[in-house]
Amino acid sequence: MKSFDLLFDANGNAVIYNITGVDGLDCLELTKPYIEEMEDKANPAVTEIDPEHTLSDNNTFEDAN
Amino acid sequence: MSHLTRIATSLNDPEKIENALVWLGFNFQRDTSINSFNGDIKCDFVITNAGHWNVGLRKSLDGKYEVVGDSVSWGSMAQHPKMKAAMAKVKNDDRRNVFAGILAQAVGVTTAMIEAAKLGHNITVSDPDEDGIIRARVVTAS
Repeated sequence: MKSFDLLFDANGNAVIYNITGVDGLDCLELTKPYIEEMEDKANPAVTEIDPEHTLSDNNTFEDAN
Repeated sequence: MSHLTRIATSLNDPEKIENALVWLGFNFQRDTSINSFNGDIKCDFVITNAGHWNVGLRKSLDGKYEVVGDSVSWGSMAQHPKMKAAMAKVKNDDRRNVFAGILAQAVGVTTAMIEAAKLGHNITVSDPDEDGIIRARVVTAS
């Protein structure tokens, strides 16, 4: 049986680990679609813009202070 | 005090966001407004089972989506089955970051599930644990 685990960190990136029954270049080939998909398309780094915002009268964001 | 917050993400694919919201078990509506203490705010996605003060996602000018919600939303969000464990130990104001982190991971998870299906692999995925981490195991077809 060939298997591997994917761990998704807080930024949505995948880490591949606990690879079983695969070695060397086979491992790279096996995991390539996942790595590419994660890096190219998911990769949703989370950053808080600002802890507090309020809405102005015209419904746009502006800093609370 | 109630206040509106927004969190930037690098999410830019509405289809992937929709898949992630479905996997997380949220009810949501497209192209409607969230209720906020400061008034209604137009969003691309509005999660409707997160309490009276909803949480939304809206596309920002750079094409990436941001999470928008009133600060009082996060207490209700902490009761959601897939958020409960991760939000139990954090302060209310930190829950918005937990939500954004889990949503981002859910995009990765659902993307991996789609890729696994294409390759004929089996994939099992855990719910977010108390640290807000999602894990998946892929077993290949051969």
